[in-house]
Amino acid sequence: MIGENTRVLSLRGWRQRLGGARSRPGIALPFVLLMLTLLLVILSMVAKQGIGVLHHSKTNSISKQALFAAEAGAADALRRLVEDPNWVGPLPRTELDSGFSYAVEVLNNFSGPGPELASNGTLVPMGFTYLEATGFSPNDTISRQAFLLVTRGSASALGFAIGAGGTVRMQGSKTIFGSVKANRDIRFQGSTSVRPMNGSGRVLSSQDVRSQGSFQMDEAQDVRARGSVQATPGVRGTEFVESGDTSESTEPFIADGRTTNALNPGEVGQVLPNPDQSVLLDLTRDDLVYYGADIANDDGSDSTVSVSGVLDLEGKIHYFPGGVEFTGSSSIVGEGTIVVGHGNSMRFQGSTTAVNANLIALRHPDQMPSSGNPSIRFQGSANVSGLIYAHEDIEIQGSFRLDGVMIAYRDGGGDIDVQGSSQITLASTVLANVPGFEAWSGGFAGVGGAPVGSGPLSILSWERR
Amino acid sequence: MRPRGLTIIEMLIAATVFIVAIVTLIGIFPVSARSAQQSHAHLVATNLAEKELELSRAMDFLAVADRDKTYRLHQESGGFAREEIYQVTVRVREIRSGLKSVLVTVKWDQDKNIPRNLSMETFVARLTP
Repeated sequence: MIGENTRVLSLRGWRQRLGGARSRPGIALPFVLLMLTLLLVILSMVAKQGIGVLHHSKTNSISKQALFAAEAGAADALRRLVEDPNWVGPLPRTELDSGFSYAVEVLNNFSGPGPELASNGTLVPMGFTYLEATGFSPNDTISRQAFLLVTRGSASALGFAIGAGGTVRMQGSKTIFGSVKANRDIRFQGSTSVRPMNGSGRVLSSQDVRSQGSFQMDEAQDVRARGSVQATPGVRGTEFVESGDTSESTEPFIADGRTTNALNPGEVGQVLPNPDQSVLLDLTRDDLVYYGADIANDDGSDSTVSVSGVLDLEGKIHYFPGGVEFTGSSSIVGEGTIVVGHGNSMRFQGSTTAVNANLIALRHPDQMPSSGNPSIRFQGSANVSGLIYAHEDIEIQGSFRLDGVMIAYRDGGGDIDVQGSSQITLASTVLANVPGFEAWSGGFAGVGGAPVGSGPLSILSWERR
Repeated sequence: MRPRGLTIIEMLIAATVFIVAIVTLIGIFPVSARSAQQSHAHLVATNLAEKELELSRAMDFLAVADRDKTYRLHQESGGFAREEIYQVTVRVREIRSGLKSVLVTVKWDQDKNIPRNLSMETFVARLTP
C-alpha cells in the first residue's frame, strides 16, 4: 500500500513538473529531437576536436620535414663554401628523396670590402657569409626557413663560455649556456646544468671531470675527459660521456704567450686568447685612461687604486697598472674596458654590477708565463656582461651572473673558482669588441695548423623560422 | 476530446528515434578516440625522427652511419596499460665528399595492427676541408 501511494504521488509530482504533459500531447517527440540536436552538436564538436588534433599533428610533422629540408639545403651550401670560399650560390630548387625540396640564397661577404645587406634586411659584416635556406613540402603548401651566419675558422670557435688553462671549480647551483673547457680538472659540486648555445654546450677536460650533485645536459651535448669522468649520481640527458677521450676537442688549450691564434705546422688544438698588449695598452690611444705614474719604468710597483661607488667607463679603456680595488657596492657603467697590468690584481669587495664592461688582468709580456698574480676576485654577488679575463686566477665568492666569456689564461695554472650559485651565458662576440683580441674575433683558431681565415667554417648563428 | 494513449505511442516513437540516433552518434566516439590515438602516435614518431636527425647533426661527421633502434613506450589510459613500439631506422648515404644524407624512418602499428610510418630527411656537412 505504501509503495502504491508513493508511486502515485511520484507520478503526480512528475506530471506537475512537466507542466501537465498529459494535457499537451506531442511534446515528447519535439523534446527528444531537441535533445538529439544538442547531443549531435556536442558529439560533432568532440569529433571535430579529435580530427583537428590529428590534422594539427600531421601539419606539425610536415612543417618539421620542411624545416629539415631547408637545413639540408644549408648543409649543402656550407659544404660548397668549405670547398670554395668564393662560392656565391644560389642553390636552385633541389628535391630530396622524401619529396621535400630546398633552395638556398647566398650572400658571400668573406672578402668584403665592407658590410652588406641581405635581401631580408640582415646586415652581414665583412668576413661573414649569410645563408637563407628555404624548405618546401611536396605540394608547396608549407615552407620553412633557416638562416645561417658563418665565418671561416674553427667549427668550435667562440663556443666557450668558460676557458681555463688550469682547473675549473664550481660550487652551488649553476646553469651554463655554452661550453666549458679546462686544461686540468673540471669539478662541479651542487646541481649543474650545461645547455647548448649556438651549437656549443660541451664539457671538455684535458684531465678529469668530477661532479657531485645533479648534472643535466641536452642529448646533443657531450662530456669528455682525457682522464676520467666521474659523476655522482650521473650525467643526465646525454649518452655522450667519454673517459679516456683522445679527440681533438680535449687537446689542451695552447697558452704559451703567443698573441695570435695561428697554429704552427703540425699543432693541434686551440690557442687560448691572449691580447696584443701593444694594441690594448697603447698609451697614445685617445680612448685610454691611464691611472699609473710612469709606464716606461713601471716594474709592478705602482700602488693599487681604490674605487668606490659608480665608475663611468665612457666607452674607454681604463688602465690601472698597479691594480684596482672596488670597495663597497660597485656599479660600472658606460661600456668599456678595465685593465690591470704588470701581474697585479683586480678586486671587487661587495656587490658588483658591470654592464657591457670587460674586466682584464694581465702580466707584463716580460713576466710571461707565470710571474706576478694577475687575478680577478669578486667577494660578493656580481652581475657582469662582457669579458672576464685574467692571466692567472678568477675567483668568485657569492652569487654570480655573466653574459659573456670568462677566461683564465696560463697553461697548468689559470684556475676559475666559483663559490655560490651562478648563471653563465655565452656571448660569443665579446672578444671582437676588445682591442688586442682581434685575432680571436673570428674564432679560437683551427685544428691541425690551418691558418686563420681558411679551411673550416664556423657557424655563428642558426635561426629557424 | 483528444484520444487517450497518443502520448504513449508518441513516447515509443520518440524512444525508438532516440535509441537509433544515440547508437549512430555513439559511433563517433571511437572515431574521435582513434584520431586522438593516431595524433599521439604521429607526434611521438615525429619527435623520435627529429631526435635522430639532431643527434646525427651533433655527431662527428665520420661517425654518422646507419643505425636501428627500438623504442617501447608504456601508455596508460582509462585503467588500461598498453605498450607502443616504434622502430627507428637511420639510413645514411654519401651525396658527395663531405656531405651525407640522413633519412630517418619511424614505423609503428596503429589499431588493428595497421602499419604506419613516417620519414624525415636532412643533410649533414663536414665543415673542415
